[in-house]
Amino acid sequence: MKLSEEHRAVVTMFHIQGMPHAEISKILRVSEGTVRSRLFYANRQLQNYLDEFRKNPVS
Amino acid sequence: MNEFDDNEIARLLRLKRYEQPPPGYFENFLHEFHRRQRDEMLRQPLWRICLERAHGFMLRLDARALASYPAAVAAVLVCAAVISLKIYQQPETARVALQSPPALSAPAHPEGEWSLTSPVATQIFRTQPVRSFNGSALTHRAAAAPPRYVLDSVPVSYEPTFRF
Repeated sequence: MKLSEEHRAVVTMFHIQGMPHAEISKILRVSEGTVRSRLFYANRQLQNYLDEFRKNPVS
Repeated sequence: MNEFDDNEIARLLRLKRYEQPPPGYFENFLHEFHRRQRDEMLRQPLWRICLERAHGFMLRLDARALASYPAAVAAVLVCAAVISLKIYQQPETARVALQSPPALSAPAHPEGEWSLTSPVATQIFRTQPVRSFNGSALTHRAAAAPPRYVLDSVPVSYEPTFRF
């Protein structure tokens, strides 16, 4: 639950449910650019979390 | 080299498609949902819970539809008050008129006839209107007497004379 609500929704719909950007933008009532932007920053956050996890798996 | 690039993250997240909830999750979903709802409600202060419940109760009652009921109840109460005031504020003459006919009329049971009513009660019932009738007769006598006027209480002869 480290991602924000908006970023988590975009990641869930795109990566897990496999929806295209256009459909996500219709569901969330935002532009496709906003969807891509949220995906980019969400991926960046996830990369950071996974790097930290790889360096220190206990935490 | 960054192991977790976008493709790697997408691949890892795609694995979550195959995740399944634990057994019994959907059976207990409603119960769990209600339990979480109650927990969230109990975190609020008591006065806010009461306020929300009162607000919901008023919305369910539809206050606009109920607005006419207090007005109707108030109108009925006002009418009842006016009628009761008119009944209890009747003039004294009307009460005398209601009580006098049995006193002036002949007794319902003659002397020789057997009756269940006690003689004392009959006597009291007959004497009360007579007293009031005598009183009214006295007032009639006083009214019939000619009025007495006193023009001057001191006679002329008693007027003080001039002394030098």
